[in-house]
Amino acid sequence: MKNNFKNLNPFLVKNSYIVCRRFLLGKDFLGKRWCNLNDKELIKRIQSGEKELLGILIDRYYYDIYRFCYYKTGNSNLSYDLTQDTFFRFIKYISSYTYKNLKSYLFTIAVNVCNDYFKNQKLVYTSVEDIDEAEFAFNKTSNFEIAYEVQAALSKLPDFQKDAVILRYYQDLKISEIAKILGVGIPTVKSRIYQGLNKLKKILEKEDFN
Amino acid sequence: MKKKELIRLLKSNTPPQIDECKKEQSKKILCEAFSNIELLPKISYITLFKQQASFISPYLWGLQGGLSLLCIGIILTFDMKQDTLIITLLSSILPLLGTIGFSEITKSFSYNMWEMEQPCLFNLKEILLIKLLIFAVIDLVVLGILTALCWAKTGSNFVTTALYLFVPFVLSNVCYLYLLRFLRKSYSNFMHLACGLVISATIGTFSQMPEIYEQGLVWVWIIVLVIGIFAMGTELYIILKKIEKGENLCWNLR
Repeated sequence: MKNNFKNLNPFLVKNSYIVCRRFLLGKDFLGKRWCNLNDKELIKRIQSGEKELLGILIDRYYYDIYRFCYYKTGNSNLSYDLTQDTFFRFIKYISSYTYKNLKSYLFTIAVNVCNDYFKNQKLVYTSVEDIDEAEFAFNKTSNFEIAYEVQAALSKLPDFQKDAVILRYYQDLKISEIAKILGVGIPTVKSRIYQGLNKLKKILEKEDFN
Repeated sequence: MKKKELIRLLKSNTPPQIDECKKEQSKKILCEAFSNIELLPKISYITLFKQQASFISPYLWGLQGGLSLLCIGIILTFDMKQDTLIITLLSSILPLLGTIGFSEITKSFSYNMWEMEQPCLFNLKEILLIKLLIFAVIDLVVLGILTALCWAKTGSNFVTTALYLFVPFVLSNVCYLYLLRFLRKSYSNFMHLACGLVISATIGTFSQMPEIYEQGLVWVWIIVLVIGIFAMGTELYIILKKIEKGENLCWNLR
């Protein structure tokens, strides 16, 4: 038994000890406080004055909101701005926010922020010209052409169908969650997704995608 | 093209990687903006309860007290043999007791109070529930006292006396809640009072039918009470859901 312990790598033993100690102390590998707070606790603590915790919340949902805005606009620079606007609107009313489902709530705001943007720009649909082809070429190595065509097809959908399709297939949300976010009934969401997919199919088939 | 193929195509469109610099910049701006926002302190439910109770008009407290005293007067004045008459009189006055509480609740739906409460960061649902709770507690206390007095005076069964007094009260409240939900802004105190008077008059006709207070029909009263409580709960749920939906719309469309 003693020999077995002697054979252990001292470096590994020391590091395992540090990892276990930090785990027990509730700290991560960099020594920072481990952030295992759930959304409800996080919101509660932010509302009670721990403003520095907002960063954790932003980190948690930034990518989701950015992705939504990106699919909605097809423009990454614009998506950064719209994501920021979404969080701005959220922090403005955080005092009165009563926790339910934070992710859905943020998506609801994001949908409204994007719609407001299009309304202010007097655009009904995202223009295909807004989609930056160079950006696709830069970010994707193999199938950037396909991705560009799909994004262009998505941009041709009316907003109400686009929202439903993005939330269903890119954010993998349930129909009931989408219904709550868009403020419509479940059958309406189903029909919007169905019609949206049919339109996409027609557009993509025209582009010779088979 | 099949649906699966279409979804596969959709999924192939992945967004570009997030530029960490831009994200951090955004985060910094947001955190800075947030540090300048003054967070409103959360008011405890007891404080909110006291606050809302202080907003209730003294006239309403007076009316509530007056009606309660009238009911007690009826019990004390009438002869103990006239138990059916006492119960009929009390049950026809009790719906009016409900109108007092509702006239306070309708305030939140008139004169654009709803819109005013929201910019003040009040939660309308909470306010409505607290007001309802205040009046529910008061009305329950009054009903409890009246039942006990009636039982002591006439010597009839306590449970049946409570049933005879609670059923008209609950049913009248269901009517008020339905009208509040159905008419909303156009709902005024006059309509409310008119509704209360109609219900009182209807219950008053029960004095001509003493057979409905017979012991054998108690189960009918129990069923009506259960249905009434269920209907009241449903009405309240629908109203609160509607308010919540309206609030969501207001918050997010700003």
